[in-house]
Amino acid sequence: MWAHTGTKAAWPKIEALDPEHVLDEYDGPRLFTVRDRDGDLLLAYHCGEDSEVERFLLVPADSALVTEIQTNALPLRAALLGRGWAWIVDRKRNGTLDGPFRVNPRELPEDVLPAEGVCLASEPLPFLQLRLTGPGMAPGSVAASVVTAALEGATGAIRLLAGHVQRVSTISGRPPEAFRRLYDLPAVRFSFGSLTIAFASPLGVGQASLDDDEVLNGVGRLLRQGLDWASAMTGAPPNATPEWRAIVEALARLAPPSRGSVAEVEISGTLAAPNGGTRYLTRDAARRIVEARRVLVADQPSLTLEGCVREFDKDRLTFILRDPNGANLRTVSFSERQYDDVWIAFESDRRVVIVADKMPDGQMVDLAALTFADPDPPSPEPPDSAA
Amino acid sequence: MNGPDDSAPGFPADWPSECPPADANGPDGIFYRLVHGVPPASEDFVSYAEAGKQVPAARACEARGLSLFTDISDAFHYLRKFPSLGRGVASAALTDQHGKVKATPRGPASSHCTWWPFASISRHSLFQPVDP
Repeated sequence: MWAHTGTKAAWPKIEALDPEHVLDEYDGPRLFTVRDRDGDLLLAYHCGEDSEVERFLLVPADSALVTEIQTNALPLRAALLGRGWAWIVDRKRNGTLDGPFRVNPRELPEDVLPAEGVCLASEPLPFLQLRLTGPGMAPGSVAASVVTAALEGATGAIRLLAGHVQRVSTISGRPPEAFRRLYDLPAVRFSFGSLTIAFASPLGVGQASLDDDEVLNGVGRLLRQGLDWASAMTGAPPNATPEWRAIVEALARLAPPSRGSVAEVEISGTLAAPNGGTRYLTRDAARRIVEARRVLVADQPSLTLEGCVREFDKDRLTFILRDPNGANLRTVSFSERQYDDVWIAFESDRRVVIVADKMPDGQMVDLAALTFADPDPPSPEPPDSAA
Repeated sequence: MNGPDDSAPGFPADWPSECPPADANGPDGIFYRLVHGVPPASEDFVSYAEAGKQVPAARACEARGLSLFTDISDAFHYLRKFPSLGRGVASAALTDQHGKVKATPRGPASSHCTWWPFASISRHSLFQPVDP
């Protein structure tokens, strides 16, 4: 049984855990209400067990809380953490109680409470969900950079895998916006207890083409293959194939960094765990990924180019980058978020430096970053005349 | 005339009369249960009553049974709701050789059922872990 640091409390006065109303059970009651000797209502949640005792977390309750739980309006974790007071009670096999011990439920081990966002009744799984945990992920202290990294990590991973699937499949000639739609996932839920981000499928109901389905099925297969390998912590390193390069690069975008506030990333959703489970990327798994990247990922597909934006196509979100002599350097695809920067570069004729990634078709590149080149670069240092 | 078949599997003699209930049937299909480790252990298949927990008389029969799901997503949902109940999900193909089952849907889990295994069954050895 896990240890707690609660202090013995005189209140609530409770001698037995006889359920008044069972909200959920598995073999026996696991979530139920009880009344103490003063008639006050408490919610009891099963949070541990060994061969001698069952452990319950008690929080103050009322009919409104019970209704919110039963109507799936309130996730269970929020119901337990949001009541201010909480107590641990151990029930022995003969029904007698040890406790209550007053505790701060936010200081309890993560894995004894319901997972973030889980309600009493199951809801349709998101397409992809990331939950970031670690010592610096307390409510109110999640840095914006962590949120940004999580969002970009998820979309970047899908982008890499979708790009690989599209390259090796018979799918070709798709417009860049169709490709971008596959990885620019709609974020449908944020939760900041520890950072949780849920994404919906990039394809609305009835919008998926056979090509889209084929790509996303391939993305899911590769992602699961990679997560199995990374979390197994045993077995041979992956082969040096284009497939494993894409997988390892995608995992690197999802894994926790070796330093910083995020120590573990939980990955769930139909893409990563179609049966409704959760997969985990720990720092140990991240180290494994780093080792594999060191060996596998020699050829970075990114390009850095300098030139001027020409032939701005605001419908297809592409432009042609040309050098000062008017020669085409590349056709570049960009996102709506980058639209204004590209438009300014086009209108002003200013030279830009871009970082871009190769698209699956091998011809076009996808804009990752755009900066304006210095219009008056410093002239080279004259030779040292004093010499 | 033949007498009772002593070799036929049966339920423990100390169970209440009418247990399993008359409307429980022989299972036929894939069933899922939460387990703490790989491979599943006998400790993962101890009923509420076998564990010696206090059980109201009205629940005496149900407490002899074990919770199972026929829908794997319900099993994983319970894993996320109650991490204390296990670390993974295991599945088994159960038949009428393994006891009786009855659909006992819980409000939040319509595929929940209760399994009353025959006394002679090695329950945990029937189950294999499943991928999330």
